[in-house]
Amino acid sequence: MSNLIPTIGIEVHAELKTKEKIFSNSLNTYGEVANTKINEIDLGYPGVLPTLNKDVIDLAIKAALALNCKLNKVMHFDRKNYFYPDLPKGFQITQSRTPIGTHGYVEIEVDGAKKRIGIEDIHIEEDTCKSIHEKEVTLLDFNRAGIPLIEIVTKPVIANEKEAVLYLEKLREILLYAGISDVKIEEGSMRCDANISLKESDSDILGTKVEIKNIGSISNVASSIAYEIKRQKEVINKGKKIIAETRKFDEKNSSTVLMRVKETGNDYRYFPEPDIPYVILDEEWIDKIKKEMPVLPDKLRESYKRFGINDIAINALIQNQELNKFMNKLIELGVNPIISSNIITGDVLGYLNKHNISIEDTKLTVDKIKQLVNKLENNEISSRICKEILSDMFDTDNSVNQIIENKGLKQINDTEELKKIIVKVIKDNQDAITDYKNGLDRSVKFLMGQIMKLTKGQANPKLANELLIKELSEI
Amino acid sequence: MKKELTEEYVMHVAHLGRLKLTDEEIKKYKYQLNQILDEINKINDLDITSKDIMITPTINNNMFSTKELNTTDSKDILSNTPKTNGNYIEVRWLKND
Repeated sequence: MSNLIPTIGIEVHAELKTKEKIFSNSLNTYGEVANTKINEIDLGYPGVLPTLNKDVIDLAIKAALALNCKLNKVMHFDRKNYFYPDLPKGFQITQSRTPIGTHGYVEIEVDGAKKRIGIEDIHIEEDTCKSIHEKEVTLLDFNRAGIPLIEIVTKPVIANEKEAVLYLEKLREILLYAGISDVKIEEGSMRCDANISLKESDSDILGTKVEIKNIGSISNVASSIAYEIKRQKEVINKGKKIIAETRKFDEKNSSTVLMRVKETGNDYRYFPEPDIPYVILDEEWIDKIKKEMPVLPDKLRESYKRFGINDIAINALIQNQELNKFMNKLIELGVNPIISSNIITGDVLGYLNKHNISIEDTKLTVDKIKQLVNKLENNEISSRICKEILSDMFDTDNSVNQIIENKGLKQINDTEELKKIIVKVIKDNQDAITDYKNGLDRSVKFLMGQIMKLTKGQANPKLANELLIKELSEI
Repeated sequence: MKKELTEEYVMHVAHLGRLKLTDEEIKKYKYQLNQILDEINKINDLDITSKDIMITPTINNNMFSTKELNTTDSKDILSNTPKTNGNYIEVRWLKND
């Protein structure tokens, strides 16, 4: 008997970060008093006409480029007809025939191996109003109606819940990073649906798919997929058939429950939207957007890796745009990237997190960090002194040299003074000297540590090291 | 290609529009809709393989909105609504959303 293999496709709706709505000039907002950011177009009053917001197309081009899509250069919109109170005009303006992007992909890393999750298409559409279901009535808030969305549809190539989570996290990172969407699942600016079917391992024909709608978090996407695979296997193993239906995730029981038997594509009676003329994307427009695109996380990761920055620091930089910009400026100035990234994602990030502020809220400047890193790199200061200087840099305008002066952290560069200290350290640590004579390299490191301890980190490490080796060789 | 509209189809379309039809109405609309479809089917006799679809008669492309904000006072909107609940528009309970 052949095995049942899951096939998963994911649809993500992401609200675009524009100022105005897609077809009207009311504001694109969240969390405002209900029905205050609306006008006749959002409400679908008879006789009103939609006009297209260009910023929506700009952001959608950005999304299509960021997701490696082929752009549809001659686009129009379509009407998707359905009858529901969240859409008073009876149809949603969307793109069916000419989605802005097709043939894209997002690259994920599954257990060390790279896998491309194919994007079937990205299309632009308007959001519907928000329905709140009370006990006996439903309440409608049209502030959300007409907020621009992109829907990103994957090919059915996701193998399991783990890949689904990796895909969603990557997608979120890209949309957030490129400034396309806030992608806040808890506020509904990113919403996920998963299509799941099972097929026989020796067959190319996909099984009947079940759609799970509006899953409220990435971890719930994983739970709902795992549950749905198990449920479908049980149904099939009992000799029953899977019915094409829409289900929703029940968070309390970590299961999925039936919502409705699906209306099919034909039922939506798509036809071209005659009220909005063609949108033609020319090279000039596309180039302009390309120039505005930030370096995307994957590329950033690669270049940081080339500079020898470690993975933990890279992730910290990618998750914090301000730090990332700061780091890039340091790299442009030719400052040692490894030392800089360690300082920035270590002590600096620790300070920012502790005080819940951004790097821009501190008195740190690229120049000051450059001075600090250079001093550390040239062994003019020890890492301990570096930490001490840094602690003063967050809230003073003083230069690194001034801080050193003020705190009495000046380095000991006097050969005679250092020699005296080294002689004392050698005298006090005869065990280490024996080790050294027996060829143990680490004893030099130990002795250096003792010198730094004795000088409170103020000995010039390079000079002290040279003098120590010289002293040791004369023993 | 002529395809006759069945009574089941009429009932299905009525369901999509949330309409309740009597048996008589179903028969009536089946006849009328088939007549309309017969007319539309004439298009199938034309050779349109070399033609692009036309979505709009206007020859202007890339028409975008201006940026002047336009928000309607919610009092006006709500006063046009059969039933309100605070600042919300109230409708009958919609299950299975």
